[in-house]
Amino acid sequence: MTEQTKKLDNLTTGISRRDILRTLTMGALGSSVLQIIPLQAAEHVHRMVTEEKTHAPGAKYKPKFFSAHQYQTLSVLCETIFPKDDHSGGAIEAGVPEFIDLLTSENRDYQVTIGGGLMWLDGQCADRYNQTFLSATPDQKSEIL
Amino acid sequence: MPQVIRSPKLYDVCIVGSGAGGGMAAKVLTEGGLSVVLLEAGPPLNPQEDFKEHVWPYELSHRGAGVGGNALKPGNGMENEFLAPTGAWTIEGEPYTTAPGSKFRWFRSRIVGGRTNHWGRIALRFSPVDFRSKTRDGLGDDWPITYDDLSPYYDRVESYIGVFGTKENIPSAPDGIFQPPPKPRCSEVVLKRSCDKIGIPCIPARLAVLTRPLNGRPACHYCGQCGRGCRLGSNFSSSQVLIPPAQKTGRLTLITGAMAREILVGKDGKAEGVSYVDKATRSEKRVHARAVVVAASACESARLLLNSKSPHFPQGIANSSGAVGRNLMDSVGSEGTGYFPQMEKVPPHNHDGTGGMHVYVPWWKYDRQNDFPRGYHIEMGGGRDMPGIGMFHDLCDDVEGYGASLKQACRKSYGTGIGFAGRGEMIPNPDSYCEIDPDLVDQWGIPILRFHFKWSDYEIKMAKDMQETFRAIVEAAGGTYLTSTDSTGDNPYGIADGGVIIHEVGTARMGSNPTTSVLNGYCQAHDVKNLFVCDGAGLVTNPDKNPTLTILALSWRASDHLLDEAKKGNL
Repeated sequence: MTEQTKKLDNLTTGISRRDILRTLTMGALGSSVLQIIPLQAAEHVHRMVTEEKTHAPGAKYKPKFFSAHQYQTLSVLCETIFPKDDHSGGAIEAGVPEFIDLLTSENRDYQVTIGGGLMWLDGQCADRYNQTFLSATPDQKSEIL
Repeated sequence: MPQVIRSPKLYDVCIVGSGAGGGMAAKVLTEGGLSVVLLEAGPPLNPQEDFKEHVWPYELSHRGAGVGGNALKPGNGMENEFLAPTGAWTIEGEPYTTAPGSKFRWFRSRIVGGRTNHWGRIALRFSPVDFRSKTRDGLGDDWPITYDDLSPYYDRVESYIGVFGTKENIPSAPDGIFQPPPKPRCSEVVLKRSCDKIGIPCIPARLAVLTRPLNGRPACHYCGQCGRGCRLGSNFSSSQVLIPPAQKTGRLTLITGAMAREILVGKDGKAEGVSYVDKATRSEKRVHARAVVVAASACESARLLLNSKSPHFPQGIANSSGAVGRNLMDSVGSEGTGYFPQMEKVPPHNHDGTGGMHVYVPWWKYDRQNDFPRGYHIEMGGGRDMPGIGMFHDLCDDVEGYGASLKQACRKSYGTGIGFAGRGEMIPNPDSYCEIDPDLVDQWGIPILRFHFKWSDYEIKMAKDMQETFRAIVEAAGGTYLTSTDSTGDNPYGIADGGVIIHEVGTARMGSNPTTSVLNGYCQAHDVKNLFVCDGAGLVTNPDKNPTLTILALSWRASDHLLDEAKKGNL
């Protein structure tokens, strides 16, 4: 077993990822997953998720390509397209804005389409509402999209 | 001009290439007592560092697209950064060309283990009739060997590398020595039912992935990520299963970063070694050996033979027949996707398993007259695989709007798409071959290949049949077939460009007639008895079975023969 899998497998007290997954799988065979997962297993899942998120690009991401304003616009757009709901997180939680910024910083085509697209959006909002997209009202945002 | 550095040592055998053919030869020859120097054009492979097994998409900041990548086409599918860094469609400084009117793509793996690191592990035996092609329908040529000659070596290869499957008694897909197969996934049960309904056999797949421990290798833990490389070596690769035992003998000298340039010929017309470019120092080096085994991949091997010109061999070594580079074949490939509405209602479930499919469709219309010769098999896969970059792209085109409704549409569609890939036999034709481009060399100064490629009506009719079958399977399951193809355009019925299936073979084919073939049935050059070609180049036909298992069996058989000849002093 490698360091990587060890880390994933033995995050806390000897209950392995495999044990938890097995429990979860057995739970999934029943009608409602949430009611059947033992509390202890659920706690471990939460810890694993938290641990894994520390590997993920965090909230402190510093945009490489977009200005602070553009990045904020991009984030709002991402979350509008793919929002958080009762079931799961949205685009921001998934790290979409930083992913788009990273790829755009390296890809000339994206710089034109996404970079230019954001400029276009603010330009349109200025013409129509005398506002940036971010400061437009919810109705105006909905209209322009 | 730096001096050519000659290794003072005389090895028994020099092998060029460390993939399926070269790795097998290295293992068999070193275990047989011979000293072997193995030249590999790429770097060594370090599974602990190079493999991104068990890494979640969000753990890589580019999510698989790679630096400067495109989110919708991460590395053309084969260069996704999750995959083991084991090959590429383009290699900087090492171009190839295609003749006007030809389309051909050449995937090359420059790394220890070659393409066995990434391959789909589909391990199918050729059937008896595959060796008797010309006798059967007058097309192509017969092999100089029969299924019975190779069958014991298939047994040995399967027993050694580990292949799962089931005994089925299907003439087009001979049974082998199998480990038990994994159970079908939910989506595969749906496929099986649909195939049953329309009388198409759907049987457990045959993959070189362990379901039981073997020779110190643990059984698969079903992470489904074979393509990323397996640190545990539960799937077969030359780098983890063939090279290590060869190294253990103490008789293997592995030289990486060694780009073979020319096979050296002695005054007696026999091969006496290999001249190569040491990439790290950009210098010319030479190793000498009593025999040479070329296994650089079919077209790379043809290139090496053609570039090895000498007074003895003005057309290139082992090429008195002119057949080197000729008879280039790939598999006929055509693909499609079906939407299976019943998958929408399936609760979240474990979709893990081996990398790749657990069931497949072997060629089944062998007992009737079809409007194309030979046959194809169908690979199938889909369902709730781990979502990856670009996965819901098409959905965004189809679904109006955004926000909660888009998200719900993604959830609903996840796992409802199942893909089909037909893989069929191409008949060799005079318009498909590779040759040395007269004008260009690569960055190492080695003349490069120029490809000519053409599909004939046989292959296009086969692709049409594939598309009709995919549709029939999807519709029998109550689904909708989403792919639309027709007879027009550059790729009629979705037929893939030559080379794309990465099954290119035939460029130094074996045969009993030395005027039309390069090798005898032992992969030994007709013209040069101490020269062997042990990769896909030797294949006379390219049946609908992926070639790797047969390359392994042929290389083992050739290596046994080489050992015998060495013992008799015949080399």
